[in-house]
Amino acid sequence: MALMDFETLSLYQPRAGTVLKNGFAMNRLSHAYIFEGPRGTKKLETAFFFAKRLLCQHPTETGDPCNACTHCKRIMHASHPNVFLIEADGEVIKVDQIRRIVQEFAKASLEDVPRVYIVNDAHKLNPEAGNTLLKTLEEPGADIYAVLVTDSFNALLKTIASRSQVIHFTALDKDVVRADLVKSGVDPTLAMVIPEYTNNFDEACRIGASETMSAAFRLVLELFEMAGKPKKSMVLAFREKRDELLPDKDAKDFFLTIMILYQKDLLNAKLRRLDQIVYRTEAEKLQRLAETVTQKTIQNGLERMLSLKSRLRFNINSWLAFDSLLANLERGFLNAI
Amino acid sequence: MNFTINKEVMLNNLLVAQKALSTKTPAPYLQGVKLEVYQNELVMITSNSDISIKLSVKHESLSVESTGEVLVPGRYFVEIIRKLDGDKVAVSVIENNMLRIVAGNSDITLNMMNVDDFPQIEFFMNDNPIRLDSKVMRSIIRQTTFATSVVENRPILTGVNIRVDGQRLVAIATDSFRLSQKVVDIPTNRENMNVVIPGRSLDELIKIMESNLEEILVHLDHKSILFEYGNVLFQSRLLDGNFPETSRLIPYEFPIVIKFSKNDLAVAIERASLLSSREATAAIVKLYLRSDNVVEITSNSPEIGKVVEEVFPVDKAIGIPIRIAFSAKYFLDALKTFLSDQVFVKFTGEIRPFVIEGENDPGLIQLILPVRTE
Repeated sequence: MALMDFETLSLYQPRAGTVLKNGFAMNRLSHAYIFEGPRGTKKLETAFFFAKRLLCQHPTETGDPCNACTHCKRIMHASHPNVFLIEADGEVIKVDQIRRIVQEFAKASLEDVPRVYIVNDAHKLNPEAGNTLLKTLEEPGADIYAVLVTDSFNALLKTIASRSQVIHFTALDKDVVRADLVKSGVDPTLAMVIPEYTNNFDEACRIGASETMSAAFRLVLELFEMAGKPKKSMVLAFREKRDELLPDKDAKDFFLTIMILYQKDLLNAKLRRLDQIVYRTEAEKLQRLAETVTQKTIQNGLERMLSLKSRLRFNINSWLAFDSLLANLERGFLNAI
Repeated sequence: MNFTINKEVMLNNLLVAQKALSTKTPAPYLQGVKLEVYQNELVMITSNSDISIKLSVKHESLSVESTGEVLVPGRYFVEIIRKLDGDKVAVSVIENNMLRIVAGNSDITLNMMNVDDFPQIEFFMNDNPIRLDSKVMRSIIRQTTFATSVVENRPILTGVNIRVDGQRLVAIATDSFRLSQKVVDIPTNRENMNVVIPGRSLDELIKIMESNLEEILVHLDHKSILFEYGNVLFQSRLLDGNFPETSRLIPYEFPIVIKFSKNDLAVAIERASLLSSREATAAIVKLYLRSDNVVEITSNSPEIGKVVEEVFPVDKAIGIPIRIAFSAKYFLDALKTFLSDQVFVKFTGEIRPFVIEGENDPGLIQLILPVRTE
């Protein structure tokens, strides 16, 4: 999803939004930027947005690109001859890729607009490629701009970093990620939970769209639905579905993490910290369930979950561990009644 | 969009347009031919970003039913048109972004590309183009582009510097080891120019100058240069930067001048370069003007063998005996540019650049840097 305006950008990255917007407003752009920050923080999207704003011939009154002119459209189609994306072809960005771009800049531009080159994962530049890039970074031709995108700023050559303006990208605000997930059709409750699991926007979207992950999520809700009901067994229900619903390590890890979140919510409900509940749509159920058990029981369960979480990394029999965890939880809920 | 046209006309124009079709670029949108259809004109545009070609076809066989513009995959389109039977070909757009081509017994549909993705290339034409005899243009290209640099460390040297100053046009190419300069007189032009055109672009230009038209018009913009040749517009991007000042490199006083028969000299150097331990393109040969007025061309590779060629100058050589060594390839490349049967090789010293000029090639100078031996 391409960024359309500074307002949206500032929603994700307030600082980057302000810096870039002011750069355009005051005509004080740097010829080279480094967008640096953790994975999944919209760095590459911002780089293309920057290119769009730079090349757009009809910026709006608010200083946004028009998103309608032929330049904007072609940048969004990734087919603009003046916007170059350099990406690692394998593990490293090789010197030939940089040479090609240097040769391109030796010639006059094809269309009468600025040229932008974006180096994605710039820390993958091998030293030779980095040094080849240096000269272009240092003496850019007229109307040539560079954006280097990286999540390991310290792995960049110091000489490259010192020639560019660094813009730090921060982890995304959880509420923003939530709103986006809901917008893209993810179940609202699941959308509340995912940002607690990961800050990485791309990964959040992937989980939101993944059938396996949402099945794991529904399983958690289903299991806790049974809590405290003598005629139903959490352990048995889990055994029936586990192979189908939790096929791999990632799914198990996600399953346990959101279970921990649920248990934490239970504790929040017990302690009447209702504003901190993550499963907001489940708040009533949580409160009802919390009434029936002691705080000690809830804490006990939580401790067991957390210890399993760290043990899950080792080569243990995970099904057995999950069974034992659920059996213990179940006992806790039943004894309480 | 819907039109019919004579197949041969379509094909011949496409073959010209094809010269600018991009083959290995990562940009798929440059692998297309853009067709623009107007009431009585068919326009084809191709570009590989370095060069762009625009053809205007106004043929009597062109019959347009509806106008429009499309981007078709170049390689397939050219091959289809080439292989078609029949005199006429009908091209139309049908639904789902498909192009239908009907000719003879064939009915072909081709997926099109998004026409909005094609670069917006301005073919900039000014009112006062520089007019050149197309034969002159061809010889300028042939006599200079070979000397451009192939390594891209100094991008500016991969181009040919063309200066127009009043009634003189000077074309210079150099890779910093040799230099080729051609000066021609041209009719007075109002506009002067000083540009560096990529050598590769000029090599492509010469390929499209096949129809024997008299004149080629040169339109100059600050970023690009446009050649107008009949119904073809050929545009190349220019190299940015300053071409090195070369006027002081060429010596003007030569104490030693030897006149050779071009063929005798070329054959002797070719033979001498055979026995080289280096690759054939890097062979070094030595030239020795003896006091008895005979020139020895020698090459010596101890592990292979030794060649001694005697060449007799056409006239008595002027100057003192000299020994000089140089790259055989550079010398042969330079010799090939001359039309004359007899050439002058002019020296100033054993480690100074030397110059080759032809008897009947006014304005053409080939300069080569010697190699230090010993």
